[in-house]
Formats: sequence, structure tokens, C-alpha cells
Amino acid sequence: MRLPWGKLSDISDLFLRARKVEILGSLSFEERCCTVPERLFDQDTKVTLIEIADPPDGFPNYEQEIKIKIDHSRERLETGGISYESIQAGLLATEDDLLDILEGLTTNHQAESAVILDLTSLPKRFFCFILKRLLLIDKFSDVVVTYTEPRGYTDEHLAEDPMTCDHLPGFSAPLPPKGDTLVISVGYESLSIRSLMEIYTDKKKAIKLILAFPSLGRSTKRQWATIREMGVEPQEVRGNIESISSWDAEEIYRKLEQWHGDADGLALAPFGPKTHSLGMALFALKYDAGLFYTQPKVYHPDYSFGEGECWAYVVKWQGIPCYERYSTHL
Amino acid sequence: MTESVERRIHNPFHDPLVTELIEDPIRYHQMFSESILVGEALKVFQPANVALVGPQGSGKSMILNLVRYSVISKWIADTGAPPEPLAQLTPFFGISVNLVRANFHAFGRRSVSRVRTGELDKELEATVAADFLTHYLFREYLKGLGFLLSTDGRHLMKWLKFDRGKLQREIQKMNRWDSWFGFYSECRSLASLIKRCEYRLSIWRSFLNANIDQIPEEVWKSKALLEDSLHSMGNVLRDSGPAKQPVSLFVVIDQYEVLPELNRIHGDNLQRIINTLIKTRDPVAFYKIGARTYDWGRELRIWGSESRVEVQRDYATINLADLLMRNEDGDWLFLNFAKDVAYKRMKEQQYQEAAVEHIDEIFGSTDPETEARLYFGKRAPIAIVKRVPPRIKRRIESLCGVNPSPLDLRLAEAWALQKLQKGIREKIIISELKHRPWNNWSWRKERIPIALLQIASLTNQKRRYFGWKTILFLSGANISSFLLLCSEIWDLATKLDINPLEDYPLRASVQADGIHEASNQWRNRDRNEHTGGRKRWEVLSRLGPAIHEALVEDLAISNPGHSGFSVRESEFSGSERGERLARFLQDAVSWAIFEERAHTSKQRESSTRRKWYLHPLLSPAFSIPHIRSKEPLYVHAEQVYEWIFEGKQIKFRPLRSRRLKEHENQLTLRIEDKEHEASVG
Repeated sequence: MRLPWGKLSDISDLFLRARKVEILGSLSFEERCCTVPERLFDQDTKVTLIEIADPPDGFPNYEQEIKIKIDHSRERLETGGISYESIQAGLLATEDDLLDILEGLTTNHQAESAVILDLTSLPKRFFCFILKRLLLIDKFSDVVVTYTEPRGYTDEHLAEDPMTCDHLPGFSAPLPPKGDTLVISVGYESLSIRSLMEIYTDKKKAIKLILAFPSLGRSTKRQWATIREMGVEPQEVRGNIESISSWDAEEIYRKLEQWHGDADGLALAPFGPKTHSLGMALFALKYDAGLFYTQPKVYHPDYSFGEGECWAYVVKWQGIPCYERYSTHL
Repeated sequence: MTESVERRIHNPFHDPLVTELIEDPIRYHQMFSESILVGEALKVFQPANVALVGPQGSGKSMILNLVRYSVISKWIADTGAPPEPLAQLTPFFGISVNLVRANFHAFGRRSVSRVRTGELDKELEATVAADFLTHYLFREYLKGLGFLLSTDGRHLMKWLKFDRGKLQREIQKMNRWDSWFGFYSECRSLASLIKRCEYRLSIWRSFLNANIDQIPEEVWKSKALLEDSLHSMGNVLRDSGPAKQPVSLFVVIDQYEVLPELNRIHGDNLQRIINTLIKTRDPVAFYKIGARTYDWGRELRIWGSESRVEVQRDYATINLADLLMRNEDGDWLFLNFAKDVAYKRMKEQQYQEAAVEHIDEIFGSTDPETEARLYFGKRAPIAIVKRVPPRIKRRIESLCGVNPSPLDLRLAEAWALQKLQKGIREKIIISELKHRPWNNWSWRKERIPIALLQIASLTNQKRRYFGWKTILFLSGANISSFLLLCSEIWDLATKLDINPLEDYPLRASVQADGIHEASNQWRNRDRNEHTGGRKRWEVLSRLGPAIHEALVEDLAISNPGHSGFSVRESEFSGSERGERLARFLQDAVSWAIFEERAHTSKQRESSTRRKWYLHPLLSPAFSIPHIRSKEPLYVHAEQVYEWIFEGKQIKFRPLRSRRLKEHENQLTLRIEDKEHEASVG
């Protein structure tokens, strides 16, 4: 695999200079949803933003708070002179709904444009599926994924009201399931991960955990609290924990490849940072693995605050997905 | 590593899920309580369609697991026979499907009909889902037959009394079944059938995963007929065994209940496909469905018709919660089950101490008197009586003696307060006290749990829960809650360097703290992990304290049953609000957050009632009694709806006493105002 990645400014200089780009992101209640459109927009840029609504049966109901914050994001983009097309979607969008979103993008796509998939505020069930289709469809030859870190997260629950465990759209496990190792990328919420273990384990799988690094005091505490909530005992995972930079999708991929070699197949549970989920999704595409998640029905309106570093990952270039490309290619 | 750390690590009760997860036949055999459960749920192992229902964690999967051919085969290999209660039954061959693991739940989310016809056609979506399920089960079945014909399968083969030659001849004919429409025509062996089947399954998976956009015509044109195929599978078994004792095909269906949640558009239809199998009443294929209490029965229609599956006629229901609550020869069935599970878990961790066989002795006994005295330590409990006039107070204290029982003091005062509230004169009350009326057993028994709660509250302490019987009651006949309780107590004891298998009975304070921790975990786990749990958590955070407050403030203990509420059943039907409320309460029961019982009303009314209590394990978190007395709070559905969905303040008192309370408050305010005026003046 060869995945050129780095700060957006560097990747932009190297890959996107003088290129038209089409941005697909989210119009969200998070401030950082505006960063990538602001930094890459010019008059030739086409921007499509998905506005995602929580399901009506989610609890607590933050609809009003979220609406106000989305309006702020909208105003900010409009003030910045960024024109965009907005698409409405429900958080629990089916594969059909996601394909409909992509159909518009595919129809209007111009061959000379690079697609920027900004996963900053896109839920996992959206960006993993969209990423997969962008990598599969020949019409999209150049695809760059971007991610903007926040300055911080709320101390409250980031997400709540989880559903029963399911595969992410487009990422069900092979039949019959392969391997006996479950890899969990750990975040700030355990959600309903026990239901994953209930449904997807024939017998108790070996568990490997990936934590996000750098582990600032408070985030370490939250990650370990999550592990405890999962009901995982320290002795069960001793020697099976890896700390990987929260922006290093490539290292996630490589670590999974290494474990895959030892375990003959992995099941993946991306509960951690989105860039870890990106690495897992790329691995799942290459090695036909399942991605499992317990979709929360509600996100906290103060989920994150501020805007930090912006990262970019060249996941497809000249029609070749990064996992099919070797170091000699680029 | 110190011994105590070692013991903490080897907490035998740590993983409440382990029995659900044991699909490893060897561990299953070690851990399953066959002597208790199999006999009680015999219908599961007989040729009948069965819905095995019970709250989350009650042990349904554990029972259903035994149906699977690999599990029963291991059992027979180890012991030479199936579990004793099965000895008299006709042998069976069981396969299983976890509908979520199989991806059955995802059918329709990527619509085949839209791709083929440009329009959504639910009927067509159901047809392809049924095709997938047919072939998935066929693959499980073929794998099972492969196992039977292998060396490992010889014990099962013997139990089934199969004729190997006959079975092999039947396998040769499988590729020609009409229901396959020629899809398997080229397959000449079991291995080639499996390979071809897996190819078909992978096509459906690839389509649902959006790897491919078209279904190959060879698959599209050979969509299987579900009932016919399953019938043919059953026929092979019947024809391969003795005619006098025909072997049936059993199919265990797991995760039926989550289909509507994970597939909001087509989930009901997917359930209807399963219902259709049940409705067929096939004489050679039978279905065993495990579901949470109320998740079975919400969709009873069959596929493509409004007709419904009917209990008794098409299937039998076994309610595991009711079954475990039953008394058997004076013994509560759950008691034996819990003891057996605890014993097996300790044995599995290689503990050899004598206490392994007597878990009840590890927790010891409890009695209200001992508990009541714990709240005072060496202090005298006199200060407890302070809400009755001085003459009555003196009388009570003198009757209770020099070293009075705090429980007697509280109950005597409650009795006196009841009389005062009824307007009986002090003189008469004092005279009647000499007969110690608080010792009247039926009066006293109902009020002891509330009195203990009040004593704890009056001394500013948490209620202390401890003792074997308490743990059993708190478990609410749910094996997961029992294991959580044991686990937390074990953990806490070992942290304090106490060996639960040697230093027993464990101190009350250790047990009480462990129990409180388990109670909080039960509540938080529902919030964080179960569908709809966040809303239930919010409701509990208001309802629990409201119940506590009402019970603690009822110093006359006039309403000892008011730890739950009762609603007329008729109030749930006919309105959207009623139905929404019913659904919330049912879900809370299914997730083991509420308990529900039929309620025979003392009032004359035309409708039957049902009553709800918090699950006993939640009692410690809110300091409310885990033992229920009769006569819960009578409320209207509308009132409960307002509590739950409109955030209305919960006042857990009958209207009459609420008015009385408001009146008392107003009176107090007036007195305070007067005092204030006097002080200002």
C-alpha cells in the first residue's frame, strides 16, 4: 500500500495545484465542517454538503440546538462566499439512500476534477460507504480524503442512544466469517459494543485494541473508561494494545495487515477517531473484512469545538486505489 | 502476583455473557445447567414450533444452543447419551441461523427491485430475502450432514439411528430438488453443493455491499421456494432414520427481534418470512425462536397475507421468566439454577474449596432485625420515634424495652401514626399499644421492607442489602443480574484482600457495597448499551427517586405496596398515546428494567389491570424495596404517559394523599408565615 498523506497544505501543493476539485462533505453542527471548503474553495470548485438529521426516535432530542449550530455553519460559508449544493439525509440512511446521494455526484463529475471526500463531520456509515464507491467506480480517478481535527471535545457523552450492532453499509463480513480476531479502535464511547460480541462471535474472539496517540491525560482516561465499559478485562488484552497517532490512517492499515497475517482474518470495530476508521475501511476493502458499529441515534450538539490541524490522504490516484499501489508507483 | 490479585483476575462471575457466547461445545457442556433447564423447557426439544421468550439475559440462548447438532453431538460423545430429560424424546437434528450475522436483516436496504425494475417492490425484496435464507439454511444443513458423515459425527449418527447408505443416497438426489430450479444440477457431491451454495450467498452479499450492481441471471432465475426447500431437508432426515422414530429438522432462529430496528423499511416483512415458516406447520421441519419478552408477537402476520400465526395452533410459547419464578416442591426453580450456575463457574476456574458447593453460605443469611441494628451500630435507636405525640412516644419506648429493636420502634410508631391519621384519639391508641399490634404478622410482614428503608433514611444511610436470599430476590430470576451481583461482590471482597471462599459469610458492608455497584451498573448498562436505553435511563432518574421519596415520607406506612404502579389494561388501546406508552413499558420489561405482572384489583372495575415495578436489581440504586407488597399505586395511563413522555414531575402518591400533602404544606407555610410575621413584629 502507498498512501501519500500529510497536512492539507502540503498535499494540496503536491497533488491538487491547478486541479479542479469537487468537495463532498457535511454541513454540520461542528465548526470544523467549514474548514476544508474554506481552504480549498475557488470559483471552479464544486461543493456538495450533506445535511444530516438525527432520527426522530433518538433521545435526547437536540434538534433545536443542532439547527441553530447548522445555521451558524451555513452563515459562515455564505459569508465566506462559498457556494455549495446541499443534500438532506437521515442519519440512518440505507445503502439505497447513500447510492442516491452518490448518483448525483457521479452524473455531474468532471473527469479532470479530483474528488475531495471531507470526512470531518460525516458519520462513519456515510463516509465508509462513499469512500468505497469512490474507490470502486472508474469514473473517479483521483480521490483525496480530508479530516480536520477539533480543538477539543465536550466532556459530556459525545453520542448516545446506540442501536444494536450492525455492519456499516457496504461492509458486511464474508460468509462464512473469517478469522477469530476482533480489532476495536477505541474512542470516547463504548456505545453498545457488547452487542457486537454477542452477535458476531462464534466463540470468544481474541480482542486487539487500538488507542489514539498522543494520549493527553484526559483522553487516555476516557479511552480506558471506554475499555472498562466494554467489559474487557486488562488480562484479556495484555500485549494486544497498540497506540497509533490519531491522524495516522496508514499506520492503522499496516498494523491490521500485520495482525491479519497472524490471525487469518479480522473483524473490525471502528469506534475511535475517524482517521482510524479510514485506515480500517481501506483495509476492509483490500482484505474483504467486516466493519461493525453500534450506530448512535443522537450526537451531542457540542460534540467538538474549534478547528485544529487539517490532514489529507490520497486514497486513489490516476485510477489506482492506494491499497493496490506499491512504493514504486508514486 | 498476590493471591488476592489472582482471585480478582479469576473472578468466576466476571463475564455475564459467557454462557451466551459458548458455542464451543466443550465449554458449553461444562457450564450448562441441563438438569434444571432442559426438563423445564422440554417443548424446545420436541417436534413443535416454539417461541422461547424472556427478558434480556434470562438464558434463552443457553437453552436453544443445545438444539444445535454440534453441541448435542459433543454432549453425547462425552457422556454416551444426551442430557437425561431428552432420553425419552425422539432424536432431532438441529441447525441454526443468527439472522444478523447472516446479513438477512440487510435485505431491502439495497433494493433489488429498484435495480431490476426501477421501482421499489416489497414483494420482490421479500422473495430474494427468502431465497437467501433458504440457501443459508441449506449451507448450514449441508455442513451438518458433512459432520454426521465424518468421524466426529459418529456419536450423533448413532443417536439418530441413521442408515449411512440411505443418507448418502439422499444427498445424491439433493441437486435435483424442484425448489432449486436447476441451480445445483451440476453438483455431484456434498462438497460441490456447499461450494455452489456459498457462491450464491456471496452474490447476494456482494450486491447488498454495493460491490456489484447486477445479479447474475443464473441466480436471479432460480430463486428458491423457502418452505419447499426446508421440507425437502426435513424429508431427507426422516427417510434416513428409522420409520418408527422419524428424525425431524429443528432450526434455531436467533436475532429475530432486531429485524425491524436494523431494517426500518423491510424489517417487518423479513419477520413475516419467518412467520410463514411457522405457519406452514411442516411435519418434518420445526422452528425454535428466541426473543425478548415482548419482541415476539409484535408482528404475527405471514408473508403476503394478513393471516397470522396462532399460539397453540401454530406454535407454543415458553416464557422463561415465568418458568424460573415458579415454585417447585417448595423450591424456587431459579434458586437451583443460580446455585448450579455459580457452582459450575467456580469449578471452571479450578476453585476447590468446600464453599464452591455452597454459594449460599458465602453470602450468609439476613434478617430484618439484624439489618435494622446495623444502621445504629452501638448507638441506641431511641431517636427514631419522633413523629407522634409525647405520650404515645413514651408508651412505645417503654413497651419496646431497654435495648429496643429499631424495627419495632419504627413499626410501632407507624401503627400509631396510622391510627392518628384516622382520627382515633390518643388515649385509645395508648391503650391499644399494650397488645403490641405492630407484631401482627400480616400487618408487619408487608411493612418491614419499608420500615427498613425508612430507618436507613432516618439515619442518613444507604439501605444495606446483603445475604443469599436478598441476592436471589434482587436477581429477579434473571441469570445475568445474578452473575453481575456475584461478580461485583467478589471483586470488592478480593480488593479488600478477603478470600470469598474462605472468609465467609462475607461482611454485610462488603456485600452491600458490591450490590450497590451492581445496581448502578445494571442501570448504566441499559443506558449505554441497549436500544432505547437512554430514554429509559432518563425516566428512571425521575421515577426511582419519586418512588423512594413517597415511601420514605409515608411514615405511617399506609401504602406499603407503593413501590410499583397499576394501570387498567383497557387504557392502553384505542389511542396513539396509549399504544406508545404500552410499547415503552413492554420494551422496559424486555430489557429487564421493569417487571410486569397481572394485577387483581381490589376495586370494583370492569377492566383487568397490570402492574409494573422496577427490576429488583435497580432497587439498591434508588433505595426502594426489592420485595413487593400488595396493592401498588393505582394510576391512569394518561398520568404515566405524562411522566414518561412529557417530563411531568412524578408524584408517586394517590391523589387523595397528594391533596393531603399539599394541604399539610400549605398549613406549614401558613405557620411559617405567622412565625416570620411574629419575629419581624
